[in-house]
Amino acid sequence: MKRFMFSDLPITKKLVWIMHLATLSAVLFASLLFGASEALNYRSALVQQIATLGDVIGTNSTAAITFEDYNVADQVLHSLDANKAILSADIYLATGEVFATYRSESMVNSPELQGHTEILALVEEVMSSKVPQERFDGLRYLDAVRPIFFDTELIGFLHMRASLGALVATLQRIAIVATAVMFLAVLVAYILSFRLQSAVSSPITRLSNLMKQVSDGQDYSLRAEPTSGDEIGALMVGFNDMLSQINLRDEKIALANKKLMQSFDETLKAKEAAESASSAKSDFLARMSHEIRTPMNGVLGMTELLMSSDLKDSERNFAETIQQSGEALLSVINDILDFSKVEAGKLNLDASDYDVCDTVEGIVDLLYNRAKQKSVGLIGSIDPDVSSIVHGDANRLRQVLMNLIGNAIKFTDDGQIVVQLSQRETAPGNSVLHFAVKDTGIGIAEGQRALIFDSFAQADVSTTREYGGTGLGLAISKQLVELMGGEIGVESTLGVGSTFWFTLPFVSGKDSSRIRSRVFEPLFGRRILIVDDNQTNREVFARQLSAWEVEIQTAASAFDAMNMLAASANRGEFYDLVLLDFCMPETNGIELASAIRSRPDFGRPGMLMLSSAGCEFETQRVDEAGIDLYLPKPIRRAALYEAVTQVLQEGRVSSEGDAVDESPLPFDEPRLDLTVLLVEDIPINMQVARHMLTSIGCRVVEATNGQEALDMIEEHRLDLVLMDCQMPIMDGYSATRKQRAREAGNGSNRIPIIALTANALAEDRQKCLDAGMDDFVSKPFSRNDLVNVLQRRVDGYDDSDASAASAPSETPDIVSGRNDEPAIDRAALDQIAELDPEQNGELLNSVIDTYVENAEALIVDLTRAAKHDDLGDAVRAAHSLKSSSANVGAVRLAKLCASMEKDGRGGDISTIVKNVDRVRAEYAIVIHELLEEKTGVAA
Amino acid sequence: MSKTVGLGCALAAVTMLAFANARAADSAAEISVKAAIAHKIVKFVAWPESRFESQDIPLRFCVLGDDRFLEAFENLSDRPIHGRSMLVTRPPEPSTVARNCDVLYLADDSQRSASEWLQKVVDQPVLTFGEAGEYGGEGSIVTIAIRRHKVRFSIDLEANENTGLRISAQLLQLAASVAVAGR
Repeated sequence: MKRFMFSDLPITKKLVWIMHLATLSAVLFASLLFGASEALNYRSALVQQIATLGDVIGTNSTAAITFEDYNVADQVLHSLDANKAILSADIYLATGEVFATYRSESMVNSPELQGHTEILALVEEVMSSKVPQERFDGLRYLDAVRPIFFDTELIGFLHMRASLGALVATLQRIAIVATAVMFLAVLVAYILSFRLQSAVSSPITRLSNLMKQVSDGQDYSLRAEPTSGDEIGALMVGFNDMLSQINLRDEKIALANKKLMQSFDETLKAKEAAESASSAKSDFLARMSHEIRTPMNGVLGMTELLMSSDLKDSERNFAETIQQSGEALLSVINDILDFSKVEAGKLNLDASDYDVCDTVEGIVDLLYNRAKQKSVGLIGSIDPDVSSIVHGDANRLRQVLMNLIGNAIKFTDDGQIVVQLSQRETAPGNSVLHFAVKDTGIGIAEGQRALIFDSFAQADVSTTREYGGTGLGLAISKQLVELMGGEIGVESTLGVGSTFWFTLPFVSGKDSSRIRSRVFEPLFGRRILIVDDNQTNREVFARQLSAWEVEIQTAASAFDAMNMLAASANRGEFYDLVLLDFCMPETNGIELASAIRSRPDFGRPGMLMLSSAGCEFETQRVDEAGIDLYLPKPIRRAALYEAVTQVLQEGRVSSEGDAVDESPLPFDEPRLDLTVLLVEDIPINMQVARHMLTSIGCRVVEATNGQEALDMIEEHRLDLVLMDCQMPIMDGYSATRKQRAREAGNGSNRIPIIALTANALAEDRQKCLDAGMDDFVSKPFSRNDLVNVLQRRVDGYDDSDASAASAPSETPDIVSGRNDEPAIDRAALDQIAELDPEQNGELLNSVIDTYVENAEALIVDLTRAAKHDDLGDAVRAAHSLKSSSANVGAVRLAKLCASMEKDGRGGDISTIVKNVDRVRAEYAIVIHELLEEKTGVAA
Repeated sequence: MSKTVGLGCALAAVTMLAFANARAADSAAEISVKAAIAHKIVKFVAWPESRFESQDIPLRFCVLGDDRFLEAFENLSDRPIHGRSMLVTRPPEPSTVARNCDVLYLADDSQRSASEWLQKVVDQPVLTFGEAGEYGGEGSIVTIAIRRHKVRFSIDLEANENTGLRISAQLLQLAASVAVAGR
C-alpha cells in the first residue's frame, strides 16, 4: 500500500487540507485559551467570593465563639444555605477544636469530609501563620481556611469548602461551544476553500491539463488563457511563450526535415544510380574477363603446343614472346577482375584449417622457377616456432603472397628474395603471423611508399612502362590483408631493396599443437655442416635444422668446408652430415663431394646435395661423387627433414626418385594412359585440349555439347570426362546432372567429370561442384594444369581446396573401397620401369624393395598409433604410406590412406582406427602383386 | 464532626458544673466567671469617639462590690479591649462616677446602693452591669444572671437608649432577654 504523502496530493486537496488545519488549530487554540482563562478567572473569583463570605461569617460568628454559643454559630453558618457553591463550613476554636459544623443539602448524607487530614494541616498552617489559606483539589473543590479575629485576638478558624462544579460545567459548556464552533468553522472553511481554491487551483489544474493535452496530442498550437495577474498568470504566459517557441522550432525542423528528405531522396537516387553503374561495371568486367579468357585459351594453348614441336630458334623465340605476352595479359585480366570484386565488396573469405607453412613453401615452390629464370634466388625461411595449422583463407593468403613475391621477382634483377614467416606475440595469448618478402630490387623512394598501395599507382609511371603490370596487385593485397584483419606495409631503401610485410591474426586450427609437435622428432646431437655460398641460404638451413636439435656449422665455400672437416677430423670428431649446395663458384657441390669422399679420415659423413634447375649436372656424376641424396631447390621443411633423417639413418639412397617427397613426382614427360571424353563447343579450344591430351598419352573422344556427351558416355568405355560448362543444346551443368542421375539409376560406376570453365569466380566453381562435377580447370589452362588435375583424378586423392567441397560424397566410396579396381595400377609400375635408364628392371625392383621395407614399418607405426590414440603419429604414418603406395601404384591402399589422413588432419582418429585392419589386408594384396611383379621381372 | 460537637457539649457541661459549684462554694468561681463574661460583653460595646481623647487612654472598669470581684477583674486586666488597656478601680463617689468610669460593675452585694450609683450615670456613656439577685439589677444596662446553673445575661436597651453606647447586634442576639426602649 502506498504511503500517504501530502506532497503527492493534488493541489485542490492540499488547499482544503491547509485551510482545515489552519481553522481547526485556530479554533482549538482559542478554545483552550478561553477555557484556561475562564478557569483562572473563575478560581480567582471564587477565592475572592469565599474570602468575602468567610469574612462575613467570621465576623458574624465572633460573639457566638466568644460566648461559645454553638446554636448561634449554627445559625450563622446556615446563612450559607443561600450559596449553593459552598459544600461545607466548619468553625474551629482557637485551640483547634471543632465548634460548629455546616453541611450543604447535598452533603447532609455524608457529613464526613473528604481529605480530612489535608484540612487539618491547612488549619494548623493558618493557626501558625494567621493568614488565610486556600487549596484547590483539581477541578473538584476549593478548601479555604480563614482565621477569625475578634478585637485583634484570634478566636477561631473558619473552613469552607466550595464546589468547582460550576467551573466544570462552564468548561464543559465552553468545550461544547468550541466543538460546535469547530464544526461550523470546518464547514465554513470547506465551503470557502472550495470557493477560494477555484481561484488558485483551477488555473493550475487547467494549465496542467493543457500540458497533458499538449504532450499527449503533440499539438503545440494550443494556448493557455491567462486569467489572473499573479504568479500563475505569469506561469501561463511563460508556458504559452514556450509553446510558441516549440511551435516555431517544430516548423523549422519540419522545414529542415523536408529539405533533408529531399536531399536524402536525391542521394538515394544517386546511390542507386551509382550502385547500378557499379554493378553494371562489375558485370561488364566479369563478362569481359570471360570473353577474353576464351580466346586467350586458344592463344596460350596453341603457343604451348607450338613450342613443344620442332621449331627454329627464331620461331621458338617468337612463340615464347607470344606465350609471355599472353600470360601477362591473363594476369592483368585476373587483377582487374579481383579488383572489381574487392571494390564491389563481393569478396568473401572462405575460412578453414590449413597448414600455413605448407602454403608458404608451396608458393615458393611455384615461383621458384620464375625467379630462377631471372637468376634471382627465392628462399623460404620459416621460423621453427610457427604453429603450422591455422584457421583462415588459404587461397587469399596465397594470392597476397603471389602478388608480393611476383612483384619482388619483377623488380629484382639480381640477388635474392627471402620469404619469411614468423609468429609474433602481440599480447599474452594473442599473436600474429608475420610474413615478409625481402628483395634486393630497385627499392622504392620514400615519397612513393605511401602511394604504392593505392589503386593504379606504381612507384613511378615510368616503372609501368619498364616493368608492366596493372599496379593493382598491391592494392588488392592491401584490401585482402585488411579483410583478413591484418596489416600491410613496406620498408625500402632506394637501390638496395624493399621489404613488403603483412600480418595476419593468428587463429589456431584444431589440434595444431599436437600435429606440429609430432611431425619433427628432434635429431639430438647430430653434427651437420652446411656449405653454401649464399649467406641467406646458410642462415635459413641453419635455422631450420637447429629447430631439430642438431649441432650446426656453416661454411661459405668448398675451401672453408674442407678446412673445417679437416680441423674437426684432427680433433677426432666427425660430421654426421654435409649439406652442400651444387651451385657454388670455384668449386661446385659435386667436386666438393668428391673431395670429401677422397678423404676417408673425414669419417665418411652423409652427404645431401641441393641443386636448382638452373645449374645443370649429370646424374651419373652425383653417384660417382658419393652423394647420398640430392634434392632440387626449393626445399620444403618436411622434405628437408625427411631427407636429412633418411641420410642419417640409412646412408646412401640410390637416386632422387626414391626420396620420400611431399609433392607428386615431377613428370618431365608425363604420360597418362586414359580414354578421355572432351566436351567442347568451340573448335579452337577443342583443338588445344585435344593436342594437350594426346601429347600426354591420352586417347580423346570428342563431343560438342552436353547431349552428345551423354551419348558418348553410353557408347564408349571412358576413364574421364572434360566438360565445358557453357555449350549450346545442353550445357555442362545439365549434362553432368543427367549423367549423375543415370549413374544413380543403373548403379554404374561414377565417372570423373572435370569442368572446363572460363569463369574464374568461386561461385562458378561451386556451381560446377554442385552440379556433380569432381574438379575443374580454369581456362586458359596449361598442359601442366591439365596433367595435374587428371593426375588428381587418377590417383584418387588430391590436396586442392576446391575439391574439398565434393569430398564428403566421395569419401564413403573410398573408404568402402572399390573392389573392381585393381589393387595395383600397372601404369605406375610401367612409369617407374620407363624411368630406368638401363631398362633392366633393377630400378623397379629396388623401388619395390624400398617400398616394402618402408611400408611395413609404417603399418607397424600406424597400428601402434591407432591403438594409443596418437593422432599425430597416425596421420604421419598414413600420409607416408599414402605417398609411397601411390608411387608404386597401390591405388586402393593410397586412397584408403588418403581418407584416413584427411579425417585425421580434421582431428578425427576414428577413421584410422576403423581401417587399420583394412590397411593390413589391402597391404597383403599389394605385397603379393608387387612381389609377383618383381619375380616376373627377374624371371 | 459530631465528636467535636460532643466535646463542646461536654465542656459546656463542665462549665455549668463549675458554676453550680461556685455558687455553692460561696461564689468564688462564680465571681471570676461573671467577671470574664462582663469582660467579653464589654468587647461587643462601642463607646462614642468623643469619650476618649486618645488611644492610649485606658478603659476604666469601676467595680462596686466585694474585693474578690475587684481581684477577678484585675486578673483580666492584661487583656486589652479595643486596643485599650483596662484600668480596674473602685468608683470614687457617685458624683464623679460618670466622668471617671467607662464600665460600672455593680456586684450583688452592692445592690443596696446601686440605684444611687445608677442615678448618676443615666444617659452617660457608662456601661453598667448588674447582677440578678434579690435586688434584681434594676436599672443597669446589662444584667448577668445564673439560672439553672448557666450564666446568662440580659440587655436593657431602654436604659442604654441615650447613653451613646453602641451594643453589637451579635451580643443582642446572644442575650437572654432584651428590653426595647419605648415599646
